[in-house]
Amino acid sequence: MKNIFLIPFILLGFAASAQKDSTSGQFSFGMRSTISTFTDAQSVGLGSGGEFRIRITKHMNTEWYGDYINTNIQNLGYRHDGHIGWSVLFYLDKEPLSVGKVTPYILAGQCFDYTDVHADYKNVNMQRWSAAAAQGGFGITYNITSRFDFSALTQYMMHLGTNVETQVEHIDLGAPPIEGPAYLSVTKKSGASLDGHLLITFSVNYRLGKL
Amino acid sequence: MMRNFILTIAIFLSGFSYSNAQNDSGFVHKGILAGVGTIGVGEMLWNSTSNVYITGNLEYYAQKNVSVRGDAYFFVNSLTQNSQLKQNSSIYFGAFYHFPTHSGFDPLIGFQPGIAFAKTTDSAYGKADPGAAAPLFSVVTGFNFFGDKWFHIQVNVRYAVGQESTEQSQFRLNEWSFNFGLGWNIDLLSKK
Repeated sequence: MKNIFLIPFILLGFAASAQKDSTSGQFSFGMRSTISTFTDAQSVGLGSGGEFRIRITKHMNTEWYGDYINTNIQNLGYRHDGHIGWSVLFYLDKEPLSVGKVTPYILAGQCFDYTDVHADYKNVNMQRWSAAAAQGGFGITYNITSRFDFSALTQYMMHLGTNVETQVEHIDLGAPPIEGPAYLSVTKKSGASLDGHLLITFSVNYRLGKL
Repeated sequence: MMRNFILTIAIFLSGFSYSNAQNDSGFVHKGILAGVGTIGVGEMLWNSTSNVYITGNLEYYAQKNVSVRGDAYFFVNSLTQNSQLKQNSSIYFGAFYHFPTHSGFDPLIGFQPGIAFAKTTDSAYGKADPGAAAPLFSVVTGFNFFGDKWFHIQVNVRYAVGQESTEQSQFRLNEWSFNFGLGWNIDLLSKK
C-alpha cells in the first residue's frame, strides 16, 4: 500500500522527462459537482469541490481534487464524505482536447477519505479517516475553446481500509410479518473489500498556463 | 405577480437589446472585470418557501466567450410565514460560456458548484439545529447588457440543488432564484 504514495513522484519524473512535448506542464484549474450513488441504502449524495490538472504528455493528464459530499440516508441519518486525491487520465483520442470535439478518457487514482455517519435512531455517530481508497473509471472532455473544457466522469471508488457501512433495518415488534419502524444501523468494518461508491462528476476547467 | 414582473423585464430587455443589435459594436471582450450587487428572490418548490437574499458577483472574462465568476448570496429572510429556514447563505464559483453576439447583449450559461450554510428551526436530542455546510450543484442562465463603458445590466436565473443534513434536520435546499441588477465593469487589459 505504501508504494501507492510513490506514484505521484513517478509521474512528476515522467513530466520532467517529457519536456519536449509542447503540451507537457499545462496547468488547468476547475470546479466540480459530484453525485454519489450506491453508498447507503440506495440514497444519492451530492458534493462540491475543486480540482486542478497538470498535463504530463499529449495523451496523459493528472487530476488533483478535493470534494465534500453530503448524503441524506432515507431521512434516517446522513453521511458526510470528504475526499482529497489524485487520478491519472489517459486520453483515448488521437488528437485529444481538440476544440469542438469530445475526447474520451480512462482514469485511475487514489484518495484520502474522511467519512462521518450519523443515525437518528439512538443518536449514533461514527467517523473514520482512511488513506486507502482507490478509484477508476472513464469520462469525456469537451473543449468549448482551446483553454476551456467541460468534463463528465464516472468512477468507482473502493474503500480498501476500514469502512463505515449503513443498512436500513426495522425494529422487531415480535409479530412477523408486520415490520416495525425503519432505523439506520451503522457498523465499522475493517479489512479490504470492494465496497465503495459510484461517483459521477461534472466539472469545468480553465487552462491558466504552463508550469 | 412575480411571473408578470419577470415577463415585463424580459420583454423590455429583449426589445432594448434588439434595438442596440442594429449596430455592429460588439462590446464583450477579454479582460473585462464586472461586478454586481443586488437583491435576489428564491423559490424552494419542495418546501413551498420563498426567500430574499442580498447577492453579488464578480466576473472576469478570461476570453471573449469564457468567464470565471464567483457569487455570494446572503440570506435576509423567508417571505413565507412560519418558514422552517433560519439561514441559507451561500457562495458559488464556476465558469460561464457567453454566446457570441454583435452588440452589448451578452447571453450566458454557466455551471457553478457552491456551498451553503443552512440552518432550520428544527430541534432534536434536546438541541436546536446548529446548521451545517451543504454542497450545492447549480446551473445559471441569463444575460448581461453592456450599454455603457462602465455599467451593465445583469439578469440571472439559477437552479441550485442541495440538502442540509444535521442531527436535528434534513432540509432540501433546492431552489430557483432570480436576480436583476445594475453592475459596473472595467477593462483590465485596456491600453488606453
